[in-house]
Amino acid sequence: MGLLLDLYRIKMKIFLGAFRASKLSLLLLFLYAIGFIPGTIGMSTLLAASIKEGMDLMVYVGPLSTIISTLLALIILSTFRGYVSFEYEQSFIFTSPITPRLFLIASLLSDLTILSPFLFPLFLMLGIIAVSLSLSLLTILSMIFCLLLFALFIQFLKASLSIFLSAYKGPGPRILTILLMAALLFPALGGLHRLPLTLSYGELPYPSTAMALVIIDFIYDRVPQTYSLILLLSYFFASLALFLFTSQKNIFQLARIVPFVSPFDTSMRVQEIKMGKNIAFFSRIGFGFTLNLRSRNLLRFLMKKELIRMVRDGSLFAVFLFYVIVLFIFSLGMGSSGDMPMEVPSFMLLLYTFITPSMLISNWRIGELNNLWMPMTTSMGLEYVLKSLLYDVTLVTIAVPTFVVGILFFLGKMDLILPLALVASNAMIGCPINLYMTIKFLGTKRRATPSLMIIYAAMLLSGLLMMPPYILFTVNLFLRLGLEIELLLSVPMILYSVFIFRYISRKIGEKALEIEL
Amino acid sequence: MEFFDVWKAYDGIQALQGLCLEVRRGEIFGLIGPNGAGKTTALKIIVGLLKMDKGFVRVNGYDITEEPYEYKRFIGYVPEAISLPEYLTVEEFLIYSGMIRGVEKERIRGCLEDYLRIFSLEDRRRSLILTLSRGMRQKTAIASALIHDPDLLILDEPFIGIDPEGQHRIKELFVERVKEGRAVLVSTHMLDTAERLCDRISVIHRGKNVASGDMEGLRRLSERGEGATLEEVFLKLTEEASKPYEGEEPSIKRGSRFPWLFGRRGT
Repeated sequence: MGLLLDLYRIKMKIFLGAFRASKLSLLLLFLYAIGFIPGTIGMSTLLAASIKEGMDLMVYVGPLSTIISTLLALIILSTFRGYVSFEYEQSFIFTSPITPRLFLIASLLSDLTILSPFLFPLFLMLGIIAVSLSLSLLTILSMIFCLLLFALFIQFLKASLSIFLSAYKGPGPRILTILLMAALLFPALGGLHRLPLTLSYGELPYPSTAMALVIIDFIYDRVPQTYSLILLLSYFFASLALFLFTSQKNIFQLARIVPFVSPFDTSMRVQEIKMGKNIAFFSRIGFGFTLNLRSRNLLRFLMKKELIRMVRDGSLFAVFLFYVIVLFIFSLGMGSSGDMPMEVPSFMLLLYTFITPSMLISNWRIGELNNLWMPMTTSMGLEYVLKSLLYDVTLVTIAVPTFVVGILFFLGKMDLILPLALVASNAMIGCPINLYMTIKFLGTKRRATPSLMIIYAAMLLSGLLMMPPYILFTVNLFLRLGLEIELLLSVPMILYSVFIFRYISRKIGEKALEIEL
Repeated sequence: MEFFDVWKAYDGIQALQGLCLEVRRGEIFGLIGPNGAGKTTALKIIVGLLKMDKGFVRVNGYDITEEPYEYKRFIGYVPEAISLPEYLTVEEFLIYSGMIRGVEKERIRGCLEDYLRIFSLEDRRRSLILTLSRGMRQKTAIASALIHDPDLLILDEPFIGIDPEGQHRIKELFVERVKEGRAVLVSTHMLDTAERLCDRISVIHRGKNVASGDMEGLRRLSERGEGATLEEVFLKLTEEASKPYEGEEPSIKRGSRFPWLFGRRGT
């Protein structure tokens, strides 16, 4: 028991170590938690009020079971990599006299602990419903017990399947697992129209159905049906038996080793590895485009180099894919309803323009942070590199959505002048702000800041500065002011963005001088 | 290169404490010291990756604080943990190195072929850096540091990961450069290499210069007899420097920012 607790403590300490690197990691967790509070409170209060007014929850067994089954299928999909362990575990734990089963139990406990803070919205929701409906203490405790039982069932199943897939390499185990996933998802097809499928989750003895029935019974403050309780307990004990069987295998020899992953990417190592894989894949496409001595001046040369990076690390592809999805959604919307209000594509497109600079600059940070020593040790300095990057990112952020606006204009789904002005405005504000925030957290002192935090701060600041152009755009969208007024509105919009672009660019230049690597 | 009374601290930890160094033209200067002695910090200050808290550094007559860019035309640098743009090919990377160092296009073309040949990288010129071994990356980085023909070449652990033949070629290259009147500053843990390669060596410990000079001088300072190896000299000098002064208190005490969450830590 002592050894198990020690192992558990080590795993937790390693996980929490990510927080030590930057205080902002704690802030990020806090923001995650408070971000869900308003929505969760609203939804739970509404649900509790509906139940009080006599809403029949039994009709929701199917949808709830579908959600749980989909979650289970995704968890099973994640086991396809086999049993995964971290490098430090291989180096320090696998080489010690600790048994695989003990290690597996410690991992299971630490995974459950780590998961708990992220399930905060779910706990909050159940808490609000329990208080609003004045559920008895026994019901609340029983509900928590059943949820824990189900969480353990998931953990046992996940561990057992991943060990199984690591131990038996042939196609058989994989086919079996795919069949399991298909069985879990198959009844969901019944929800689709025009399919003569009579199967539904409510009628099937699925773990998800058992859990959905138990939760609904508890919400009604009544003892769950014996059928659903027996079903839930059977799945739990079956998964436990499977776990006890598979944990006999020596997973230390079977595990697939990966670098330590933290939800707050302080080391950036995992992202760098992913970036390496992207380069290996996308560089095949980008080879027609090479860096040579033909560029007329240094700035053009550096801009070409940055563009090559975007092609070869897949950043540009991701941006294109992003907009292809927008077009796809538009075409679907137009196909089903025949017509779509002009506001929908406009706002969707502008939301994407808002996200694109964060995506591009975040990729630059991952791929280039460790390479900055080179320009920094030359007489050129970092300023030129940042300038070329800013120009490239701004150009891409303007060019791709402009193409989409053009298509939508020809389809008669969007105006031309103001959307284009807003795209340019978004790019000229979003790109320098994102770059400025990124280099603010670039040096040795603030390097541990999680990327998510930087993106969050940059988006917040961009959002604030983009407010005036958005207001002008929205006013026109609802009042339909006409082409002349649109042109008139575009001028201050562009002038304002150019001012922000120039001001922040100057600040970037100043900040570049302060960077220490 | 003059490096005079330089101080640098990180989060309250004193990495350099009045370190002084001098690298002259026509010499290979070795910087040796235990882990955490401040070697990398000193090199990073010279090349402008870190700012010093106090002190004075001059390269080729330029004060690096007053003129932070101009002097960099005269230096070439290879860091310890090399990271190169993996999405570029070897050839593209060398072109990039030349361009950002202001080398003329014609000269880049000429140098490119020379260095690809010297470092046996001709076959890999169109390979992505991503696909290179550690040794090849190291060679590529050294080639890029030489492309503008710098007066002072600064290298942090340059021989790690390079095969014996490659190491031999690089050493020959250093000697040739020094004969032409340029200088090389090498930080290394490979004491036998330093002993054979360097004209003068500086032993640093806890951010201070413990001893500087040629092998003979270092032997005398360490009071080791004739024929003592650099390893013996180094161990003697650092052992002496490690002895605490009477009544000396440990200078650094750090605690966790979240002791309630992570437990205490301190040194």
